[in-house]
Amino acid sequence: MEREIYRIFEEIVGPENISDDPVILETYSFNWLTEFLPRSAPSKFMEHRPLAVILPKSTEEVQKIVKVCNSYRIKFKALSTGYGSHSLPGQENVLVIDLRRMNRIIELDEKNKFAVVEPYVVWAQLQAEAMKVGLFTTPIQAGSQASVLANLTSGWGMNTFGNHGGHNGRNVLGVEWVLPTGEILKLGPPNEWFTGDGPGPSLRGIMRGHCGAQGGLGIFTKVGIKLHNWPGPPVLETEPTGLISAYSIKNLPKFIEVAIPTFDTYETLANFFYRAGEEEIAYCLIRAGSIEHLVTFAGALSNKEIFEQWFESGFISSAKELIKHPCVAMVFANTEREFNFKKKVLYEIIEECNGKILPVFKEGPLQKFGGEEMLVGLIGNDTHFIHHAGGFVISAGYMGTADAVIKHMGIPQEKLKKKFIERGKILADGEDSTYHNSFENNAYIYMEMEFHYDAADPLSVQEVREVVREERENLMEEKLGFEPNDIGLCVGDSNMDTGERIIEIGKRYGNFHIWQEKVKSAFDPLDLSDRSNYGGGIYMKKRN
Amino acid sequence: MALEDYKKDMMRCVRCSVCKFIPLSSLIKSWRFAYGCPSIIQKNFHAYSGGGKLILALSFLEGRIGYSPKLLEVIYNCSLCGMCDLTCKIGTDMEVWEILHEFRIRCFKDGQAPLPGHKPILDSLKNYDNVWMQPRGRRGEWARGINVRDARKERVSVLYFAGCTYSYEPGLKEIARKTLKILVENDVDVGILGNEEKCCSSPAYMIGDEETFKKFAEENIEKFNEMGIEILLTSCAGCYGLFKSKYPRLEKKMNFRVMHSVEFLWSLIRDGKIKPRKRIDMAVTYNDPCHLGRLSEPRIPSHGKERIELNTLPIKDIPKIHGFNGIYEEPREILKSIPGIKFVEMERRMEYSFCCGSGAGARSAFPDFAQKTALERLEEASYTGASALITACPWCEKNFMDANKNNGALKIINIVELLYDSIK
Amino acid sequence: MGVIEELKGLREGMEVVEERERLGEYICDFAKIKIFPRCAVFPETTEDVIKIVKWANEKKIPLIPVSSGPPRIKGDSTPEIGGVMVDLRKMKKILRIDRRNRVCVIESGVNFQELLPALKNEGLRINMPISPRKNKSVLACFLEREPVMMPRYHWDASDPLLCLEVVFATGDLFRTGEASGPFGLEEQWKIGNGQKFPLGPHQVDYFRIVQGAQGTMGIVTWASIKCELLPEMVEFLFTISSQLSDNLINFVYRLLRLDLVDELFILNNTNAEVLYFDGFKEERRLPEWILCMGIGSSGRFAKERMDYKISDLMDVAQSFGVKLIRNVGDIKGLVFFEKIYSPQETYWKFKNGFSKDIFFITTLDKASFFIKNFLTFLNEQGYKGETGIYIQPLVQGTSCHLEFTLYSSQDEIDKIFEKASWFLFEKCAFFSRPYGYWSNLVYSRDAIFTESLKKVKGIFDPNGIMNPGKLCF
Repeated sequence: MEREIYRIFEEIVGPENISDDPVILETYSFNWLTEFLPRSAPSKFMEHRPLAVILPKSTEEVQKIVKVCNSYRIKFKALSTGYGSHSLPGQENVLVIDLRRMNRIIELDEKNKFAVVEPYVVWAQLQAEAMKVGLFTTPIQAGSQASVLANLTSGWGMNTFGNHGGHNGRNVLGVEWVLPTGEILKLGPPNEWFTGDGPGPSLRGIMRGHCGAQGGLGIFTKVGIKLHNWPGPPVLETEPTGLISAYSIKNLPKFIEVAIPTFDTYETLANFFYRAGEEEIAYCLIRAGSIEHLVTFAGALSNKEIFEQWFESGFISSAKELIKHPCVAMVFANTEREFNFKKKVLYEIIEECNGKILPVFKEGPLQKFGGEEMLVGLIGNDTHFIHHAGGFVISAGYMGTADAVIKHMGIPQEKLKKKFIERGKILADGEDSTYHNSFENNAYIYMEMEFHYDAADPLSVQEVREVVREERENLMEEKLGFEPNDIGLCVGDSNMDTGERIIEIGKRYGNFHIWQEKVKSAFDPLDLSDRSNYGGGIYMKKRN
Repeated sequence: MALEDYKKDMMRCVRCSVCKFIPLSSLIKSWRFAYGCPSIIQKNFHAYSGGGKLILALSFLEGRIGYSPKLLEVIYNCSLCGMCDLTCKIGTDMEVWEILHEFRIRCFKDGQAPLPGHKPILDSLKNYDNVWMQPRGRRGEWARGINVRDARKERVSVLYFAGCTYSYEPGLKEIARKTLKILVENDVDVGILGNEEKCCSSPAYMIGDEETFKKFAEENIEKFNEMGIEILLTSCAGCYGLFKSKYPRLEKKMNFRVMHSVEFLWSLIRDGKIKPRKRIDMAVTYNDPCHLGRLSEPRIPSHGKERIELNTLPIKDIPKIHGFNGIYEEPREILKSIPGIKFVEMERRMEYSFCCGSGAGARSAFPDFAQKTALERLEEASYTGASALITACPWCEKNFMDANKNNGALKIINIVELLYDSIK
Repeated sequence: MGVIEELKGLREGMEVVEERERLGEYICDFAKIKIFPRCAVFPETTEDVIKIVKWANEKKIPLIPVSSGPPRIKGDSTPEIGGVMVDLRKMKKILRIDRRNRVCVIESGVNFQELLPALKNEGLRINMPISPRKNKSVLACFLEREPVMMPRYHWDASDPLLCLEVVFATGDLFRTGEASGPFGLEEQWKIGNGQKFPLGPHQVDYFRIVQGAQGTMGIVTWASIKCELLPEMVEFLFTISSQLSDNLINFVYRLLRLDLVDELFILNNTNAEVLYFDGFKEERRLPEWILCMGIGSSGRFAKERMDYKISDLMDVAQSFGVKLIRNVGDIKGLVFFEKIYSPQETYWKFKNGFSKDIFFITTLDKASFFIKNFLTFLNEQGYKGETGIYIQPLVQGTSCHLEFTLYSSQDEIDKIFEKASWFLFEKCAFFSRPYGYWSNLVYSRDAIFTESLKKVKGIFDPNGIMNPGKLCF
């Protein structure tokens, strides 16, 4: 970066909070999934290092930085906890704005059930404080270490307790937003956070959509988040156990019950989701694919233990026939009456839907998946549980009704996963590694299929490109379609890069890429907020 | 052993940032004390986190970056406290600590280390067998006047190893003396090495000087074996961690058991041999030293050896050590056994205790880093309402004392002192 | 060729109305200056709408979409500078009622009178405003973010509106959320797609831009609406109070934490009497404040659910020292429940004569502050009329809709309305749905916000043909 400009930035944040040293920059050129991005030779590193990295402390500093960027035509990309290649700039000469120092919980409104946070407040921090006033924020699927603000504004908004806590794209209240031009846009009333809609049309409309803005339309500096009731104790005391989540809860809430029923067919599984939704009994309702998929989630265990305990022991092969489609339903109630009622209904509808509660979940080695272990696993989730081999990729996901999800599941499962497992370069964690997550009492479900690969094995990486490409083709052939939301979009096959793929998809979905480009042009006329993961990406610009 | 051995681990880092926090599934208790890594708290750039250093190691191996003052500063602005390793290991088999350490060894091998701040330590080790540039002939002075057996001359079952800091540091000598007095007065078959005690070489090991480490460690093991001792007992968490966790890496047979004085003293209390009687009315909290806690279990590194099962599941045939089996209960039991003591926990405790900032050469090369880290910990201790922070490590104690100079409301007390006062 | 002929020529049989007496129904009933539209056109299909919008762009003629029948109360779908009314009341197909997915897909012209019985047949209901008028378009209601009665089902301010099909003011057709594609509705249904997930596609929530826009961004042709199960058992309970005490408010807050009650709102006695008795008496029959709580239950476990909920609710009430009652004076809980779900020929607030609402969004704990100050203000202004008050918790209790209904002569209300609005605005009332005069207030406060809205408008309506003169456009 030119010294003169560097010095201007330095004055804004202080010399210790900006760097263009290659050593610092290098660590902003590497991430989960970077191995899939187009470049001349295979590498975990991005093609380009950022121009510099800057660490603002306040909205005012962010605004000043963005204004300087506007004056000197410098592209920028903001990140908070920054997990995944979409957190990095995808083009040359981009200033990375690392929001790490903006880490305050601005407000926690116990009565009105909301919090206001800065970008680097992570889920675990907000939850710790929320619990103290009997509130709950549904755990971010990307992990407890992920930024709440990013989940609400810039990422997919997925979470694991959505059945009770809703989708985080819909839990957004007031927002403070530094636009790409440097103006501060406040959604909702000035200085208040209880709503972000209006006056008139809601500008949340241009904020995140399904996939989050991913740094492509300015910088979000504060967000209000709707919280939910927490019927548990103000602090969960834990102790290490070395089991699934490494820790167990010592003061487990009284009215909690976890059931892991298994269903013989997708249809009966879907029926259960619908019934559980109608009866409004589940605080959490998820599914982690086949038994292999379920046990490979056993985070705190070493890979060696996972392999020996579940696979080598013959457990999987004997359990596989019995456990076809397991899912996890958690009742978490406020009172004993409510608890007894919901527990009763839970088990009765499992029976009604021909589900089975197998003894293996009660007394065998799988019992650790019940009760407190599951609660810790779900709410204190270390996202890298799922990175046994250093890489995992999500297939074309689907967000919608349980019936549609079931239909989408068959294709990748039967046609694809098996074939690729046999080819030997993706994790053999069962043909069905679909994860389902129910939202708002089964109003809609998120589904993704997971492919674990070895990030250190180029052949394994290449195979993932193939599997994702083939899956998309299958989906289109079967006239199923897929949500244009998936992280898989970052992958693609080596001949087709991210933006081109989005454009292809956009054509099937109302030309959203063109509409989005109009939003981009209107709010970022100088094209400074790094567009690499926004709309049609840098390819859209090239086409223009 | 080489940095290259761990290249696959580096490539498997997903930059999830888990390494910046205390273990997430321990269920973080507050906004304020959620962080675990002292380096990233202060420096903020991702490079300073455990994951950041993995990225740098990979970049280095791929020839994308070379040595520079910045690289060395990033590598050494870290107390190798092992929090990143603990948190990452909750979900993966990554050997983060080994990579951070191997990177330092590499710096040494390539002539880039020691840093100016570390050189005096190594010179002192070479010239004086201790890290404080003190004459060998005065090492045993701390025990003057205590009627203890000379382990050089007669066979004892317990060798009390004072360590460099307790031997020489004027303000801390008393800890070794009081420990020894309790042992002697309770007829423990204990002896000391006097002037022949040599550094455990922890500082050399931690800053990456393998050669010096080996020399000292091998000599020490041989000496201890020859003496026929049953227990090697130390009050220094640094010595303890090295003896217990890193000496076994030399694959030399060790015919003795390593114990920290808190373990030994608690066993005396438990067995009714000593009884804290004097009331000490004080609310206290306890700082788990890294090397007595999560870094104290023997860990045998994989050196990158793995087999692949289920197509892509890398399996390392080594036990996965989280740090859950460190020495956590004993110091707490001692404190609770003292009448009048009200024991309160800090949020970050036991295996996820927050580092004092002193370790692995950080205090020598980056005193500012060490002090800021200590202040963070002192603040956490103050939050508990305790009036004293209890330690069981001379390095922590010294660092806390320095950091505490200016605000001073909190007392820094060694656990042995408290116990000594209560039984006397 | 004139406008009428051109419109008629867009499709054979396209109905166009130009008679002044018929156009009168499109005028805001209470506007001082009556501005007539040029004509009204009645599209029957999405294709019709596209043709009309493209035509209007070409001719630069304003279009004002409307889907409810008269009266025009708030003035959001009335012409400001003439133009063509696009009356969607002929698009009244209920495209689908999907019991399994608890959703329905309806065209814009479907009104409450038509939808509710159809839903009932399938065992469904919607989270809706108190007793709308029969000819109120369901989509218009939810496109305007009207307050709904069941806060616990109100996950997002946009609920229960989910996915929609819109013809943007450019003439481009677009579908949002889960409905965005690929393929059409029929094919989506075949694969189980129920148009339930509203966000997107991709990185823009198009439906949020159309919602709250008073028809300024485009014309919505159909939308999916989130439904809830029709209760087979209902308990409707009240708590009465002479004051809007902190205790009462805290009781409501507690209920908002628990999923015990469905309908949950507070009325003052003026409103309650108008709603129940079609008018209030000089001497009120009811106590000052009435907290209304409904519990519904259905299915296999209906009775057991009802039992635990009632028992739990009693416990909560007891802990706050409040009494739950089934009837208040002559008001019977279950009849009240019927009423709030029954569309009326005449909107209930007009049954006592003329009235006008002033409403905004705030939080429940600030309701007393606004009420106290506003009533004092009215008093100081010498206001002779009566004031109805309605407090509706929204979005699971994170905010609430606070509504003052001025019952008086139009003259008196006209005199005080702007001043009263300004008074509340000054006290930080958030007019999230700014009709008429309110838009002057809200859009002059935050230039960046207003400018941003104009940019969005520029994208979807570059020629400014949709309902010009509304909001800040």
